[in-house]
Amino acid sequence: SMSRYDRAITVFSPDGHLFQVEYALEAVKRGTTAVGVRGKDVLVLGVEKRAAAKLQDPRTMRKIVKLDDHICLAFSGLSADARVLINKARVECQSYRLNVEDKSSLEYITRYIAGVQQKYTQSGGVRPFGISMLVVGFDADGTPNLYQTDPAGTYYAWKAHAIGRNSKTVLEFLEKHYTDESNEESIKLAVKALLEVVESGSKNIEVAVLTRGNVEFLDDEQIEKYVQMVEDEKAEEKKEP
Amino acid sequence: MKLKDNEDKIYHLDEKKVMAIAGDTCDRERFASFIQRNLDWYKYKNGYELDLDATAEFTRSELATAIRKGPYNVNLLIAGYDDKSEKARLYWLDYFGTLQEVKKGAHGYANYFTSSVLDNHYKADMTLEEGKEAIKAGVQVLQKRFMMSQPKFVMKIITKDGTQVEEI
Repeated sequence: SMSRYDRAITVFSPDGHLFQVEYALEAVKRGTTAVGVRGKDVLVLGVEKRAAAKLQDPRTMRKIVKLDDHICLAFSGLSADARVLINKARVECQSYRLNVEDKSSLEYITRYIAGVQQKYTQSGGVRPFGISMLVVGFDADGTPNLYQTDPAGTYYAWKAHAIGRNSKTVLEFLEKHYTDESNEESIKLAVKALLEVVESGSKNIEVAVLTRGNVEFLDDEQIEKYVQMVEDEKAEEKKEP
Repeated sequence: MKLKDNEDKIYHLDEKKVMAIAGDTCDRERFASFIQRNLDWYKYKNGYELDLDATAEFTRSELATAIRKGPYNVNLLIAGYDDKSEKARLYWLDYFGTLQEVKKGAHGYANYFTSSVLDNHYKADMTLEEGKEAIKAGVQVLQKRFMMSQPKFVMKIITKDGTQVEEI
């Protein structure tokens, strides 16, 4: 009956806080780390891969997903919530294409996702999504984009960003070392930043690299190559007096 | 009076699936886009493409639902190569929601002129070249007997290696 959905779960506190939203942000902070880097001609997403339990089928559960031909995203937080949001976004991508005969811009789809997240902070009987997302892709005019959404429903554009566990450490690292010198440097930056807080090894991270017209999920061998490069650089840095 | 000679009515659904549609232009464009977008959505949601017979059935189902609500005035042929069964298949559909897997087919006026020609050329396990010859024979009979002048035809060939486009 109507009365059952009368109670909004997200209500203001006396001092103007939305506690449910803040609690949702806590859920995000517990989630596995995700990092995004925007280069001049490349976009990189890296995520921490949690080790599979002993009896678990080690089939790769991709944590970086494709929304459309030209859009990828990574998330931190409740993966079940992410699944729902991601599928809504996938529908919106195709719906946009059907009505407008063009692929959507990154800003449009980010705005859509953020809009859904906001709706769930202002509707009766629902709770916010415990998810922050990093959305990347190239627009039709070739501009690279990295956007972030959060449980409040806000979205920001970033040159580089990190969400989830230890994201503060990763973000500090990115602020110190950000460069868009070359594609290789951007990929290395993402891997290096992630390895600040994730145990070293290709089996602990997942990386996706986007260039104009191409999306590539790096395989273990390719990731190992970058991990090795980063390790070597770190060793060199230690040597310097 | 010539309107257009480069309207491609064979829409690509996936890498190895095409849909040839004939009918009212508005319905043809809208229905084609609708099926394409639904197949893309399936691909992104599930991580793999919808297989060929399911695609034909889905298309049929949409037409069958629409016929008594707001029909799409289109007739179609769906052709593709199914990787799983390693077979090429052809489906004949019409605007009511009829679906039939066939070895050869045509819609509209073309049906009247080409069905006998295709019948004569068809044999089991035809090669690609024999298939092309059959199509060309069909085109030739249309160009000879049909009152409408149609000098240009687009031909699409689907094999296990993908889709090729040729002009007849």
